[in-house]
Amino acid sequence: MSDRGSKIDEFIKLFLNAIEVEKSRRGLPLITDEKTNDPLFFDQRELRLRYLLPIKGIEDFFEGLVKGEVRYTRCKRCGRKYFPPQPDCSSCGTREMEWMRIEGTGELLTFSKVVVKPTSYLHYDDYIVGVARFPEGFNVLAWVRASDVSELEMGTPVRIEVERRQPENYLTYVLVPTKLGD
Amino acid sequence: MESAAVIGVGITRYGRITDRSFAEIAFEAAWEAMRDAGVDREGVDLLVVGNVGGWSSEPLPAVTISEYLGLDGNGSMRVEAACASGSAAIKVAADAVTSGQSEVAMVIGVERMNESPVTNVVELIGRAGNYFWEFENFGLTFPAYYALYANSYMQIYGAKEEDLAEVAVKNHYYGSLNPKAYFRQRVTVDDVMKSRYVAWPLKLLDCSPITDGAAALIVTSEGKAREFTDTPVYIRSIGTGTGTSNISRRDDLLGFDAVRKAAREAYRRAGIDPSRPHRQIDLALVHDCFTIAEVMAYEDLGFVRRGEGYMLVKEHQTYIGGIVPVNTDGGLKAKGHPIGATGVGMAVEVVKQLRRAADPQRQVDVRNGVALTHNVGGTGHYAYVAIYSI
Ligand SMILES: [Zn+2]
Repeated sequence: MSDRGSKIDEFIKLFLNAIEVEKSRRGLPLITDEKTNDPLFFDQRELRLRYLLPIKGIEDFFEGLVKGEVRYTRCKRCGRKYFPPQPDCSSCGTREMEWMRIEGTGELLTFSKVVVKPTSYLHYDDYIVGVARFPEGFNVLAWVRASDVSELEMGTPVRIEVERRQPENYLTYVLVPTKLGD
Repeated sequence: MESAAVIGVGITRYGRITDRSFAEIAFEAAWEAMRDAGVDREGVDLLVVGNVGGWSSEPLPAVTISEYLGLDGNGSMRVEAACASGSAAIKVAADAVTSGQSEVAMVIGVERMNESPVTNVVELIGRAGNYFWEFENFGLTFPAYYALYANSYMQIYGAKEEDLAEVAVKNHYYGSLNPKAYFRQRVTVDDVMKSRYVAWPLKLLDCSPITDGAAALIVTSEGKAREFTDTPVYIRSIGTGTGTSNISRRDDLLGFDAVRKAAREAYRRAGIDPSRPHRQIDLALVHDCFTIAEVMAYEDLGFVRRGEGYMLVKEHQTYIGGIVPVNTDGGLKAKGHPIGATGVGMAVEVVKQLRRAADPQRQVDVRNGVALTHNVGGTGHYAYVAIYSI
């Protein structure tokens, strides 16, 4: 776990305290921009966003995670395979899909290490994302279990595994490099 | 079919703007464009606003701007195509004037990204892929998306980080000559290489900055243009394309199918030879949100064969005097990238260049009287390629 998140919390706390001081002094939530000295009004309304996402059509995917499997869908009519899984076939417009488990060993197509992170990811250390091609016939984008990009190259064989992401403590999946011949 | 004509342009300086609000920067660009066109506010019958927002405070930007400009209460809308919102707004206005639905339309691209903390902006742009499968679980960021392309491109074609840095060197050079640009200082390959990683292998100086700014156009039909100005610039074609939401669903990570599609359509409708488009145009404004993006643009637009784009900038072929000058205003990289304003800002530069009214040291040689804009939303999610001519 990174301590960067807590440093930012500390910074925000100092900033908010300064605003409170200014409000009790003059009654205005105004701050002066550090670089330009221009006055700025600090918005007094804060909105926290979280969405509720319907997953009934792909509930099998989540049941698979609980069993340690990462599943995709295949159209019963035209055979097209989908990962991310979807309950509707974009090719033939039907909803007759079957669920399959990803079993093959994929190959890394590309990867990156994210250093500058979004607000909701600040509590993580730098993370490696990659895209791998699977023999089933689709690509998967996910984090790659490696401590640095120097351990990886194009074509590195990877398997897909279910992991419990911390600190949120929920199930998701990760690409895990395998030694050749594993 | 009749073309649309740009008869007036306006643009604010780009940068981190703390002294003017959302409506106030739109006002600057819009009134400059109206004065340039000789159109008064009662003469504008449609307002199309390119804006993404989320990081800034006005959720109904077209309405806010319409009131502040003193427009007559005619129709308006906000148009969203991520970083290509500005070009999408131009397309809506161009279609409206060529179909006769509108006589004089105003296009405004405007963005105020610095109203939110940097990490929130990183988050909101990072969410601009597939939300659940790429952001929710894996925290993709905009630089990371392009880094996946950069890594793939470098491994397959043998380009190096130093080669990508050449794009930053060129665009900062032109930025240094543009008083409206965010970054006015020149940089060297060494400066780029020494800047810290944002998303490996892309470094801070490979990235365009988080930017505030506004740009505006006044658009009418080809038939009416001469009633307003002696120097109209015509919009000959706008080609469009859409990529997959999940980047895992793309055949390769070396270029954008959506751009290739948009370019084919733009070239066909404007009579440009797709095998040598650069011979028929005097300049191109391309979407260099990251250095790799400009290299891929050269290839997707057909200026060079696939895998050879990085050589073009290395050999200075995209400076003025090369086979086609690219991003003579500093590009997104140095001029700045106020998301919704970017495509409109490109059009402003094209119009000034084709009128031979750009800043002297960066004025291109206008021989064909034709220019191209390439505006990409997200990571090849939306693509707009337009051909302009005098
Ligand atoms: Zn099907």
